[in-house]
Amino acid sequence: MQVERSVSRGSLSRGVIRMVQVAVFGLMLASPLLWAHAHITATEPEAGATLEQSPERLGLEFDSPIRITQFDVNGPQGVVELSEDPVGAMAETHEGVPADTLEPGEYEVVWRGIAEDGHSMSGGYRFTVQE
Amino acid sequence: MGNAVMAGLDPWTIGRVLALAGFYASALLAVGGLLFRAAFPGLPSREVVVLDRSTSIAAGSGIVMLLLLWLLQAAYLGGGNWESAFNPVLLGIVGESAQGERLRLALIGLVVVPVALWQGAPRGVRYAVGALGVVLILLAFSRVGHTRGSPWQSMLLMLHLGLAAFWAAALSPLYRVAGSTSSGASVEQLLRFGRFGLLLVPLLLFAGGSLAMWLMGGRPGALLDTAYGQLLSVKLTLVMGLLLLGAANRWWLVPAVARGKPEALLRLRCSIAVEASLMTMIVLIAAVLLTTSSPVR
Repeated sequence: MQVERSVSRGSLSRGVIRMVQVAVFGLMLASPLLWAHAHITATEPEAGATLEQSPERLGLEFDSPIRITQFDVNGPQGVVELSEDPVGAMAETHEGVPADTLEPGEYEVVWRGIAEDGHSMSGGYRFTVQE
Repeated sequence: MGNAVMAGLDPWTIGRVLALAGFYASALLAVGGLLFRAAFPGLPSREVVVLDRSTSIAAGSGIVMLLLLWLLQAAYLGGGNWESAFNPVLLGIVGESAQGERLRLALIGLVVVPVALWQGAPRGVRYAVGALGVVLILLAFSRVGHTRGSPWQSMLLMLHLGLAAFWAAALSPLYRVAGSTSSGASVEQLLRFGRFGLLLVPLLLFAGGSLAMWLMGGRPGALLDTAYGQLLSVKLTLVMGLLLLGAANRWWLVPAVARGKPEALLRLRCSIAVEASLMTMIVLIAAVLLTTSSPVR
């Protein structure tokens, strides 16, 4: 019984040591690149802003790069067409340009995206264009 | 800007949380199954067969969950609809992201798990392939989220998950072994796990505690005054419950079983079942933390 236990412990040690050796080697191959977690820092126009005239562009700004996958603008006339949209590129600043002048009323921007660290993000803001 | 959040709790987010939890549980059971197999060479042969089968099923389930997660992620990023789930552009965006890197690493790691369990292969090859699978799967976890790009924190996370995986995968075989403690060999397996616990628990606490402090920006108060910290506090509370149960098993129930006290047997099996339930809740909370909120750091 004692001999069996010693043999068992010996094979256990060898097995675990082999796995640890290969595991450490694998860890050494891991690339230590730096990615930060993204947070939104500003919007264009500002959330809740009341504008005297239609904005030329709509924008989002983050503290580290993010890839926007959805950028929808809705207003009193329904979905706002954009001549340029920010979908696709990995960047800190994203801009969308309305195809036409925005009519007076309340608008909502809804966006989604994926940050460099793989986190999905979403958000939205409203602004108003005065009569 | 004020309502910018990591994600709202829409059905797609709930789906992603459940798929991520399923992936976590499956992948950790696959990793833990390999580690437990290597650390318990004296396991009764019928238990080895069950363990190998469970580990292979866990690896297969992990692959299914990963692929499901890929679709759900694309669906979410496209605004939350099934059309986006099969949109090649969105699937490509997810594939090129850190999540895609996790998917590829974990996929390879999970695919090699059955090879590591194949008795026809030489022992050295099985150990090498098993270690490769373990490293790739654990590395995959560190590629998404707060630890990405922080080598030391990545290693701490891998250590933390590796230990947790070993504990999680041990519960099922120990539960069955506890049901057949008429033989001295079964009692020896229970005592052996208790001895492992003396090393496992301090390392688990060190790795988990260090990671938690780092995520909270070194400010313990963030555990209470931030949403992420509050959810993390719930997870830590469950972990404390798990450690208390582990301690009760190690110093009270297993020695009582070894002394042949029949009532201790049922209590031990109940305790192991509660441990499994707590671990399930911990995995769910971890999936919520990774999907819906942002840490202080």
